[in-house]
Amino acid sequence: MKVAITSKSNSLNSMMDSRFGRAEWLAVYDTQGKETAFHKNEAKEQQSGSGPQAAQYLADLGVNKVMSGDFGPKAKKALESLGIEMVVLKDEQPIENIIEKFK
Amino acid sequence: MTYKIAIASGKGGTGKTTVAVNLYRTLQYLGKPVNLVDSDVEEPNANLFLKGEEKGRDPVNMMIPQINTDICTFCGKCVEVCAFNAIMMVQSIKYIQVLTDLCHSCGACSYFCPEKGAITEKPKKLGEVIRYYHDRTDSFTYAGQLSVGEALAVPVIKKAKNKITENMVNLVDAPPGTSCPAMEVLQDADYTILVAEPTPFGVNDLKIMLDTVRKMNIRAGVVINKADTGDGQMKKLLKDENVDIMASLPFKRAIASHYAEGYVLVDVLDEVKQKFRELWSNVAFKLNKDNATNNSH
Repeated sequence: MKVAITSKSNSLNSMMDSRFGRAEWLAVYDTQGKETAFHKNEAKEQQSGSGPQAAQYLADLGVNKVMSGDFGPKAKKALESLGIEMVVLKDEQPIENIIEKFK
Repeated sequence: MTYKIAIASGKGGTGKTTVAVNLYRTLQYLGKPVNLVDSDVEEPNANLFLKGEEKGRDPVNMMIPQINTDICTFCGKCVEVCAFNAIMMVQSIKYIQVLTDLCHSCGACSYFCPEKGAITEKPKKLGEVIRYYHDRTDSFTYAGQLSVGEALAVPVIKKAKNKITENMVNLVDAPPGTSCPAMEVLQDADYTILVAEPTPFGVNDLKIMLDTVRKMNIRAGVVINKADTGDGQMKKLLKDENVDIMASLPFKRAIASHYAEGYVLVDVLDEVKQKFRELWSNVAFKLNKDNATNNSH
């Protein structure tokens, strides 16, 4: 399974970004290979529709589950229709702490 | 002659509708052919004062793409050309969807689609243009209304503007602010009346509006509402920027209470009636000066 976490920077000790569509980075953890890859969220630069575009990008990467602080209405619709499970995390915390729970 | 006069403001709630309906009634008293098109499509409320009888609604539609997934090859051309990210596609799972909220109806997707029949267009309702009949004067007024939840005001305003009538003075109540919906009304007006109030918010937003009309080459003058209030910053701004003051409306309990009861003020308050006659003669002067200059060429 691949889990995405929105991230403020591109290292394991960086904090979760609580925005989904406009997050700086997308950390993708593969539970089989136990590896984390950081992808720059290009959708962030869009004037509108960054949520659905980020969702589409996650689907392209084969992500099954995404964790963030909040999901906008358009992002929610898109993620739902793509079958990507959404998890809302209340506290901004380091990416490695979140990944730790999947190990 | 056909004239189009826009009534606009930088800040909301300064009295655009009040000025529009009272100027409308003033022109009727003066026996001038006058039409009113309420283009404040998010809150069209001129008819709350004019109390015309609703006679019908014309829908305002935009065309949005519909994708036939039996024909679509998931080539991604439509996604690539869409400037608004309104088409979402995941090639690997043969998934494609139109995000109707983001679509601006530009038609690029269907134009560039290489597969015949894969993209067709269907109408989506954005709002309505309402017709009101006034039996006392045997005349019509019009209002554009944006549907709840829709974000695109400009197409509704464009359709409402079709109700601008030849050989009449057309008063067009604009949405507040300086963005596209307001400019859609102001850009082709013969004259624009900016309604402003002398509060810090009012002064700040009028300044933005003055910058905007200057940049857009729109001829405009200001009606100061509640003119006897504030700290003098409004007068200073108008003087510094060399802006015409078309009328000053006082801040009075009688005005507020009659307004709150839904009266057209010039029907009941002589002082206001006088102010609006002055306003019209000032506006007419601007329009005539225009004609005089045009004729001399």
